[in-house]
Parts: sequence; structure tokens; C-alpha cells
Amino acid sequence: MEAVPRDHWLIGSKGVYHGTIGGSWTRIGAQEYGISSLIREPDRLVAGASWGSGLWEWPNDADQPDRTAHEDQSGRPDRPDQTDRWKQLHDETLTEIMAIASIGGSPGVVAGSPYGIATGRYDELGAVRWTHHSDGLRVNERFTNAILVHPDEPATWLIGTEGGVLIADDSGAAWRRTSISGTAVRVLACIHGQFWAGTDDQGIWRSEDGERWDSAGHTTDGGAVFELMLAGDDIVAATEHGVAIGDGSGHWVRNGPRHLCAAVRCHPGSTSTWLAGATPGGLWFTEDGGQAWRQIRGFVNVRAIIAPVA
Amino acid sequence: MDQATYNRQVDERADRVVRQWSKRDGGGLWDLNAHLAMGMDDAKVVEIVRNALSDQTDGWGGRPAGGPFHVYPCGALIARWPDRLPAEALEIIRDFMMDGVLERGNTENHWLMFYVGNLLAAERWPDAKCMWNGLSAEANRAEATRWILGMIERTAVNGHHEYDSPQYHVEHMVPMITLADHAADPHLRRQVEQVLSLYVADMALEYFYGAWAGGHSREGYRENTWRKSGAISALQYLYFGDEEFEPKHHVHGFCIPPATAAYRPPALFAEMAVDRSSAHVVKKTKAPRTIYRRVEHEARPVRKYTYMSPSFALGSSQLGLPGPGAGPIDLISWDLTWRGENQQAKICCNHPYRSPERFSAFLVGYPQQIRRQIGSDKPYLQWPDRLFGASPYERMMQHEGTVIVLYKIPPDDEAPFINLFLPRSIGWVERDGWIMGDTGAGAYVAAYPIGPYEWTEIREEGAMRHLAANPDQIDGWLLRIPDVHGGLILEAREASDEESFEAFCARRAALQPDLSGWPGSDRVAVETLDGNRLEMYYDGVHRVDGTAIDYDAYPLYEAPGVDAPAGTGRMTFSHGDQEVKLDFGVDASKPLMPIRVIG
Repeated sequence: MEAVPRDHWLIGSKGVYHGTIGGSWTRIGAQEYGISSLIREPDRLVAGASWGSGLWEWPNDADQPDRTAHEDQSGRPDRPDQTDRWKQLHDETLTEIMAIASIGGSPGVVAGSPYGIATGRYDELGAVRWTHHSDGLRVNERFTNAILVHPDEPATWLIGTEGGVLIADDSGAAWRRTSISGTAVRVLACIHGQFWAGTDDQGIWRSEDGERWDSAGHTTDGGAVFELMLAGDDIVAATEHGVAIGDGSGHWVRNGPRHLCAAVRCHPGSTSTWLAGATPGGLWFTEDGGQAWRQIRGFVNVRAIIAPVA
Repeated sequence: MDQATYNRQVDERADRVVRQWSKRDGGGLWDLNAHLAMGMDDAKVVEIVRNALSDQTDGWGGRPAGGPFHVYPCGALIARWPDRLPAEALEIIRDFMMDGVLERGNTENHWLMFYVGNLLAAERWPDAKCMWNGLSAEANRAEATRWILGMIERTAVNGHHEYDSPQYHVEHMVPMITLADHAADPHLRRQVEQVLSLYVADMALEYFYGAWAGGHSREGYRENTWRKSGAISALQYLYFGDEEFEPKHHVHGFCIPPATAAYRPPALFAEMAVDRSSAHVVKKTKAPRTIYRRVEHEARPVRKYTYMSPSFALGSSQLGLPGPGAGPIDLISWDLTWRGENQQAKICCNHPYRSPERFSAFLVGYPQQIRRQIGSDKPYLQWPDRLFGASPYERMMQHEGTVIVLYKIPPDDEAPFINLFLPRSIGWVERDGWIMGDTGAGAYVAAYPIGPYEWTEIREEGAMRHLAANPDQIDGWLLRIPDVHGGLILEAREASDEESFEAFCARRAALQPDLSGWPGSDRVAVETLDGNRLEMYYDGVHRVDGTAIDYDAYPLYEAPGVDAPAGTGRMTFSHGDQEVKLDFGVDASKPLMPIRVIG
């Protein structure tokens, strides 16, 4: 398989898929795990899987030779290519992955699970061993739904948990609680230089510093907020009742098909082209900023979307 | 009985099981152990392996696909039958382990099967640089060894996590048995043999004429009104004997690998299991339940109390659940059992807790929809007549043959009532609020529902057992107690301790429970027919004859002949002139491997 083209979307569903609106969609590798989270970097993809299936890496270096070429690493002649697969990044302590984010170093990922956040290091056998940083927190504060690395301070991470937003300083060595607590936070984003958070039952919030948060309103339908993204001058939210569009003043308008919208992303080259993933409800797109939506066949549950590279 | 004699008896039962099972045509990877033992021809062996591993991921680039129930038996086959497996079958298994898309699952038994299979494959092909997950055999072996050793140590210190499950205990024992026979690492083999002794001790201490008495972490699938539920009957027969061979109960595909294994437990446990010479109490400590959200506090350890009387067994649990939201779906907190037919020898009650938070407290799906997601596959988890599954609003205390079970259910709860199951085979007597019966098996029982109740029946069909339709999945009386402050007091007695059933009824009816403090002061008290006074505060102290029960003082195991303090990793089991000493070599200064699975 060749590297994933830069102009392709990535979809986390029952496996990781790539493709284009109007084109075909191809699963990357053979895995069919339920994907909760994705990272796209120039030379690799990283996918977090739920239901105990852990964390996986797909080498995606466009400079690599065609990896359908046979390259036996198992010692058995005529074995099919074995580089054409996801490589396991988790170990026996890293289980259900809910959120991931890129950080420095190797393997260069902070992973969030029901047991908190963890960082890894390679051992002498080429496997990653994980260290958990949330063990001292309350039960709900360990359960991690979202991770946002501070854009200016790479060792400071905003963590969206079942118990609110916490700040992990010094790469998880120290913790601070914030003014959002006692509610599940399912998404964190940095938009227009501000931090944004989507909660289960308290709408949308924004903050200058990640510590003190102010309400940023919600749709009249309410419900949980699973993703927030910028589309032109609008901020678009994936909510429990579909996509909602806000102007930043606290006014939000729900739009399009009603479903639990877990992910929404905007095409980097067109502020009116969005892809939205529902769980369940499948994959939908709009090319007019949410006025009309069409379903893309073949998907049932979509929890993660990565836009094409600009 | 000396070990050699016991081993011969197990050999005979194993042979009977294998011969019975090998009469079946075909089967799967687990069954194949019987066929290989009996000399199935190579072509059929290959056919079975190929069929069992025929699942592929969809579409272009599809690979062999499977989960723990494939991974373990693959490892077991290559370890147990290296010279008997045809080369073609071995190659199919190798393809699966090298090229497959394998699932680890999310329960403790899943992970054990997965890691045991992975370990054995890594040992069979130690030079593989890239197994199914892109890691070398060496890395896979190291990861599997760490998890298995960590799980064993945790079990030895805190108690088994997926504890005492008639369904899933088999999936713990069987992979360990394969490791005991075939793991390359002597240290791992020794630890495995020791934890197997704990697993067999768990079975033996609450074994009651083919039933597993008392509380269970997981006895779901609507089988908890059965006297013999789950696959455990097959292992009970294999290791304890005690009953005439009955293929329906004593042969199960999951128990074929141990029937063809060399491993034999210490004979002492079989003697403990069938020794019903005197009534005694069994106490156990088990690991806290995994509840990872929707609660404020950690779960506490589970404390089990089971009264093993010659003619009945009554067991209950202090579940340590951290509050609303926490309601493990397969959990059985208490029951009474005696000798009898399925559904004719069990009494249990529960609050069929339903809540949007229930599943998401220990499963990762979105809380907004996980209820529908789980309920789609297992709709009975949402049924109002449900008789199993934990409720965060249930509390109980027990002394010998008497138990008090209390509920304080929020008025706006979706199920503001309690279900009490009574067998239909008994002609019940009602007198002064007590419902009393003669089991016909040497025990009398008296139940006092707290709250108004109504007799109705429960009849449900099922399809889980043996994957076949079962018109008698549940069949008995259902007493619905429509009271959010309901409960039950139950006393079971040896019939031989009473003059007659009539005298039992008269004595029991004459002693009314003290409900003057319920629910206002959260207190219920009752005097037993032996003159002991049980006093229970719903969320407070439990007293017997004025002395508070200290659940935190429970050892890992307490029973006649057992010395097993909690937290030490050391325990001694003795019976007659036999003794089994275990020492897991726990280093208390090192943290235990964290539990990251449910169950």
C-alpha cells in the first residue's frame, strides 16, 4: 500500500479509512477495531482504539517504497508483506484509548484512557512501555476524553475528563483543577487563540488561559458537545443532536441531520466543506456550510475525522 | 486420599469426558483437543482448524481475524500437540498468529486467554521478528509474561478480580492449565501452578453438590436461578468427581483442554469440596470492582460470606460499590441453594437496576447511547423481571443461615421495586408475614419480604446455554415487592435441627423481625432460631449479638483448615493429613500491576 495521499480525509470508524468526498474510501490496513482518535503526521498515522484494542501506528512515509512489495520479516519464505500492517504501540497497561495528542520525543504520543493519561518509551525489544500520570486523581478526573497540548507550552496539557477540565503541567508530573468541574468534558480545542471546551450537560465554554472558563452558550437543543472546530468565521460544534454553528457570541444554531455527531472537520481549502461523523448515523458531508448534507455510504459509527493536509 | 489415587480418578474422568466429546463430529479449536487425543485423521484436523480460523477482516487486504476465544486455543494446540498437529494445520495457526488481526477484548478472562495464546505462539516461533501486531516474538512474549505474572500476583494479594464465576472461572483455569503444562519459563510455571491452586480452592470452598454457592462476580445470561449454571460443572466433575457422569453438565467444549492436560490439582481440594461433615463458614476477600467513571469514590474490596451447611448453602457479599452508577451487569450478590433440579433449588432477590449511567460506569461507549448499544445485544439486561446484576441500592448482612437484604431505592428510579425468585416445586406456607417451605432436601427455609408483595410467575425462554433454544431458561414464582424501601429476611435451617416442618413454621412465625427502625432509622433486626440477634443499619454497622462485624478484617480466605491472611501472597490449605502451602513471593515494597480490565 502506498502512503495516504495528502488530499485525503482520514476517518476513524471500524478501522481507519482514507478517501475523498465523491471518491472511494479505502481502509488502511486490515484492522477493524473501533477507532476513537487519530493523529496525522508527515511520516505516520496514530490511531487509538476502544474496547481494549489499544494504540496503533501506521508508517506513512511517502518516501517509502511501495509496501505491497514482499519483504519477509518472519523468517518464512513466501510470506506476504508484513510491513503492511499497523504496529502496536500499547502495552499491557494501556487499554481503551479515548484520546491522543502528539508530543515530542518517541513514541511522541500522550494517550488518554479511562485510567488517565499516559506517556511511553521504547524498551530494548522495540515495544513501548507506558507510564500513567493520573493515578492520584479522583475517579472521574482520571477518565480522559480529550487532550489538548498547549500551543505555546508543549509540556502543558489540557485534559478533558468526566470530572471537568484539568491541566497537566510538566508533562503530567503536576495537576491543576480548573473552573470547569463536575461535568464531563468531551472536547477541547484552541480556536482564535482561545481555549474551547464542550461538555455533556453545561454547553460550550471558552478560556484565555485554560484555567478560568466562561460559558459560551449552547444550542436550544442542548446535549453533549463532542467536537469544536473553526470554519471561516464560524465555530462549528458536533453535538448530541447534530452539527451546530456558532458565531462566537454564544449564539448557536443546530443544523442538518439529527444524530449523535461525534466528529466534524472542515476542509482546509474550503471553509464551507465539512465532514461530519455520527455514532451511529455514519458519515455526512456538506459543501455549502451546512445548508445541505449528504450521507456517504459504508459507515455506521464514526468517532474521529482528520481533514486533508492543506 | 493420596495424590496418586486422586490422579488416577481424575484420569478416569478425563478419559470419560474425552471419549464422550470425541463422538461429536467436527467442532472447533477447543474441541479439537479431544479429537487429537482420540486419533482423528489429519484431513479432518486440518478442516476443523481451517474452519475455525476462517474469519477474515473485510475487503482488500483482509487478514485472518479472531479474538481471545481463538488466540488461546491456537496457543494451546501448538503447545499440547506439536507432534500430532498436521503441518498444514500448524501453518494455518501460524498464519493466524503472524498475520491475523487479533482482538484483546476487555474482560479479565479475555486478556488472560489472549496473553496465554500470544505467549505460547511466541515460544513456538521465537525467532519471528514480526508477529500479528508488528512486534517481535520476543516482545510479545515479554508483554504476555508481564501481564500474566502481574495478574497472578494481584490475585494472590487482593483476591481474584473476575471472581467465582460459574461461567468465566473456566476461562481463567483452562489457559493457566495449559501454561502449567507448557510454559517455558520455570518461574512462570511455578506461579501458574500456585494460582491454579487458588482457583481450585475457590471452587472447592463453595462447592455444593454440583452448584457453586454464594456470590459471583459474573453469573449472568439469566442462569442464576439454575442450580448448575455455566461451564464450571465440567471442571467440578473433572476435579471433584462427586456425581454420576452426566454429559449434559459434565462435558463442555471449554473444558476439553484440561481433560487432555497433564495438570492435576492437589488432591486435598477435592476432599475439601465434598466434605460436608459439619456446617461451617467460608469467608473470602476479592478485588474491588472496576468502576472508572460516574462515581466519586473507588470501589472497595468485595467481602464474601458463605455458610456451608450439610443440606443447604447460603452466601452473600459486601460488594464495596461506590454508589449510583456502579452496577456490574452480571454480578450475583447472594443466593440460597440446596440439592434439587435446576430452578427448583435456588432463592434469590434483586433490584433490577437500570440507569443511563449503569453501563458507562465501566464501559467506554458514549453515555448518551451506550444503554441502547449494550441493550441491543443483550435486551434482557433491561428487563424489569431481571433477577441478576448488581444494584447500588442493595445492602446485606449474614450470620450463618440467616441473611438480611435491604434496599433504599430512589423514588424516581426506573425500577422502584424488588424481584424475589422462589422455586415452584415447594408448597409454600405463609404465616405472619413469613413464607416458609420444606425443600425436601433436608433443609427448611423461611423468607420474610419487607414491604408489600404479590405472587406472580416468571417464565422466560433463552438461547445462551449450549447455544440452543431453552424453553425453561427461567421458570418459577416471582414475588414483586413494589416498595422502594423493600427487602428480605431469610433463614435456612437443617431439618434435622427441628422437630418438624410445622414446628419450624411455628417457631419462626413467632419471632417477628424488628422493623421499627425501617426505613426511618435505616435499621432492621431479627433474631434467628438459634437465638442470635442480627442488627443491620443500611449504610452503617452490622452487628451480631451486639458485636460489629469488621469486614476490613476479612482474610483472603477463611474456612476450616485454611490460613490465608490478606495482602501477603502466602496461604496454607490443610485437610486431614494433607497440606498445600503457597508463597507467591510478593514484594510488598513494589506496586502491583494495575488492573485495566473489567469483569
